[in-house]
Order: sequence, then structure tokens, then C-alpha cells
Amino acid sequence: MKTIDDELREEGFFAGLNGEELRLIAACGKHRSFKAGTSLAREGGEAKEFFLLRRGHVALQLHTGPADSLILQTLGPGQMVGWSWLFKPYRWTMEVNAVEDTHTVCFDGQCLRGKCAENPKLGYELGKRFSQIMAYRLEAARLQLLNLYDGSAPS
Amino acid sequence: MMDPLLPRRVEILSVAEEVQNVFTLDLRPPPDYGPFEAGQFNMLYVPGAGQAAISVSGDPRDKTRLRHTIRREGNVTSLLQAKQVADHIGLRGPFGQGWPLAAAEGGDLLLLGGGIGLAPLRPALYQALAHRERFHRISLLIGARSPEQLLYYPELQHWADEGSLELQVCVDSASATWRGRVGVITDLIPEAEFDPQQVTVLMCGPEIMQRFSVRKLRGLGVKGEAMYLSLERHMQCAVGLCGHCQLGPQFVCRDGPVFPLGKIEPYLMTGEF
Ligand SMILES: Cc1cc2nc3c(=O)[nH]c(=O)nc-3n(C[C@H](O)[C@H](O)[C@H](O)COP(=O)(O)OP(=O)(O)OC[C@H]3O[C@@H](n4cnc5c(N)ncnc54)[C@H](O)[C@@H]3O)c2cc1C
Repeated sequence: MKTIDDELREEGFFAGLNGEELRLIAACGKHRSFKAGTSLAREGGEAKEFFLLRRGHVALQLHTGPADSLILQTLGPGQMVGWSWLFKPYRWTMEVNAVEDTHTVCFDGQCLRGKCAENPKLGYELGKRFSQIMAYRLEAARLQLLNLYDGSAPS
Repeated sequence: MMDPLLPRRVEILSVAEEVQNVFTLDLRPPPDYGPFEAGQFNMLYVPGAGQAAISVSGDPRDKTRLRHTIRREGNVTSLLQAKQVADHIGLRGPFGQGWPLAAAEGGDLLLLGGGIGLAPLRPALYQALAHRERFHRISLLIGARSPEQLLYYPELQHWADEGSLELQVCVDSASATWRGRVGVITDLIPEAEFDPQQVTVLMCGPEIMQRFSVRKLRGLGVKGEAMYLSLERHMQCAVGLCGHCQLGPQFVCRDGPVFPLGKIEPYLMTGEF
């Protein structure tokens, strides 16, 4: 069976990290699986962890009313879920639900924050990678907000 | 051969709602209407109101009807939506350059359609699926505002179910019951099945979507020469005389609406006059 270290080496997010850095990260991770329809995170809940998706898709949802919620993004294999573990107040800002049976590597955020505090280069490398994800998702969110497809945005 | 400047009076055979604000009009083709190529368009007239360029969205082999899928936008398209079976409207066409399907034979075909942009792509799909053996993999990626706004979905799903093509859908947002993807259409591109060296890409949709898709495809190694975009500009004459739809040295009506990327890339960010 593959170790978490092996799995991290397969993912683009971790490309460029050295063996020692990968070992430090892997030491904070464990495998977790979620059945379709179950929740990985609750809006407002404590963001103790984040996830690398290995199989399956998850939906990022926001509650829009007592019984309604809107899916704003789906994420799939190879993608990272969650950055709230990085910043105070360490709270999830969205709900994350498994759309399909989903396999993840779940990382303990506090463990990794501790490693980053001791090893600033690791902190810098992770910070760079998460910033890139945030920039990309911000760009995507802006495009989604434009209502491109119903013609209300200038073409 | 029709006089390209003279509208023909044509009968409406059917009017059907597709999704909110989008409807399909079937017209009886005039006797002298030439065969159309996938990707070409007609000018549809509402007498006394004006005209609109509308792509043919039906099967090029069907000689009994000319199908157009129309999004209600303003004056002319609203009046077209109010028309009923057996009413008459004006038609000129077909106009413009269609999709280069022959050039795509032997390789993979990747189609990207956003919103109403799926309408001009559908004839290309009919044609490619009628000669399925001439293409390797066919992938269709579609983007829409919401699942409710997905155009032609049962038909596309049927083609996917029978294994004729790979279908992937992405919407801007959805209610919690949606099991598909939510995000931007460009996220679907790296997952689609195609060989970047052997693919022909046909895309139609909002220009922003097309620009981002070009960038993503380039990043995956698809060459500019393999990408074809269908563009929209305000147009009047549809035969390259009036200059309304000029784009650099070209007219969208005559030299397009389907262009190889190389011909239009410098002008993609240029506004209209
Ligand atoms: C080659 C070509 C093929 C097309 N195919 C289709 C099709 O298959 N289905 C479909 O629904 N539409 C299609 N269109 C777009 C369609 O021509 C316009 O939506 C239509 O002309 C609007 O006319 P209107 O009188 O209803 O709107 P108007 O009252 O003229 O305009 C309403 C709003 O739409 C904008 N607008 C109008 N025409 C265009 C245009 N050409 N490009 C960008 N913005 C425009 C106006 O600026 C205004 O904001 C195509 C356009 C082109 C150039």
C-alpha cells in the first residue's frame, strides 16, 4: 500500500518540495474517506484540518436560507480543500460535502502550522502554493459572478 | 442560389421553448435555399422591426426544416419569440464560414460551448456523429449559468450514454441537489480526453470564456492552428459590404463567424465601432 509520502509525490501541489519537507507534511496527514452525501466540513465549524482529494468530488456550499444551500464550486482529485486552517479564527467559511464516495489525505492544520513555525522555508513553500490556489479560485469566482452565459455581461 | 440581399418570406413550422428565455424556431426552407454548413448563420427578419444574425442549430442533413435556437436579447429576438406556428418571417442566408470539420478528421475533436454558444456547435456534432468513424475521440465541454439553463441536455446526454462522445458540464452555481460540476469551464479542459498534438478545438460562447479557454489549451500544448472560435459582432448586410462587423482586416459575417485563432487573436480584445 502506498504511504502518504508516496501519494504526496504524485500530486502537482507538492512538486518541488524536497524529501524532508514532504516527510514533515506527510507526518501531519492521515487517510480519511467520506461516503457520498456526508460532510467534510461545516460552515462556521472549527477548521482543524484540510484535505487533499485523491478520489471523488466534493461540493463547496453556502447556506442561502434555513433549508437551502447553493453549490459555488466543486473540487476533484488532486485538488486541495480548505485554507481556513491557515488563518485565524480558523473557521470554515463554507460547508464541504462529498458528492461521491471520496478518498482524501486529511492534514492536521495545527500540526502543520507548528512545523511551519519551526521551518520557515516549509511555511514559505506552502504559503506560495496556497496563495496560488486562492488566486486561481478568485479568478474563477469572478468569472462565475459575471453571469457570462446569460448575456448580462459585456461580450 | 438566393440573392443574398433579398429576404425570403418563410413559414414558421414550430416554436419550442428550450430553457428560460431561449427558444427554437423551425422554419420551412425557401426552395432556393442552398445547403448550409455547420457553423453558418442566417439573417432573420421581423418585418417592420429589424433583423438578427442567428446560427443554424439543426442537422445539416435535414432539408425539411431550418432550425434556429434563439436567446431573447432585445427587440428582434423578443418579437421572434412571440411568433406562432404558420406565421411568416424574412430570411437571408446561409452566410459565413463554418466549422472546419474535414480538417479535424483522423484526430480528436474537442468542442467547447458556453450558453447559447452551443447552438452553432450542434450542427457540427450532428455531422461528426453521422461520420463517427472519421474522428477519434469526441469531447464536448459545456458551460451554463445553472443546471436549469443547460441547452439540449437530454439529446447530449443520450449521445454520451451511447458512447458517441464524452460529455462534461460545468455550471456557475447550482442548488444542493446538483450532482455535476460547479466552477469554470476551463477546469474541465485538463480532464477531457484528447491528444494535444492531434486535436481540433471548436469553441463558441462568451468571448471571455473563449479567451480563457485558449490560454488553458495553450498551456496543455494545443497549438493555435488547431483552435477555431466562432465570434459575434453586430452585423447588417452579412456579406461583407457594410462594415458593421469589421474585425481588423476581416468581416465577421463574411470571413467568420468561425475563425482560426491565428486570424483573430490580435483583435479579440478590440471593441466595436
Ligand atoms: C454570426 C452570429 C450568429 C449568431 N447566432 C445566434 C444564435 O444562434 N442564437 C442567438 O440567440 N443569438 C445569436 N446571435 C446573436 C444575435 O444576433 C443577437 O442577440 C441579436 O441580433 C439581438 O437582436 P435584438 O434585436 O433582439 O437585440 P437588440 O435590441 O439589437 O440588442 C439587445 C442587446 O444585445 C446586444 N447585441 C445585439 N446584437 C448583438 C451581437 N451580435 N453581439 C453582441 N451583442 C449584441 C445589444 O448591444 C443590446 O445590448 C448571433 C450573432 C452573430 C453575429
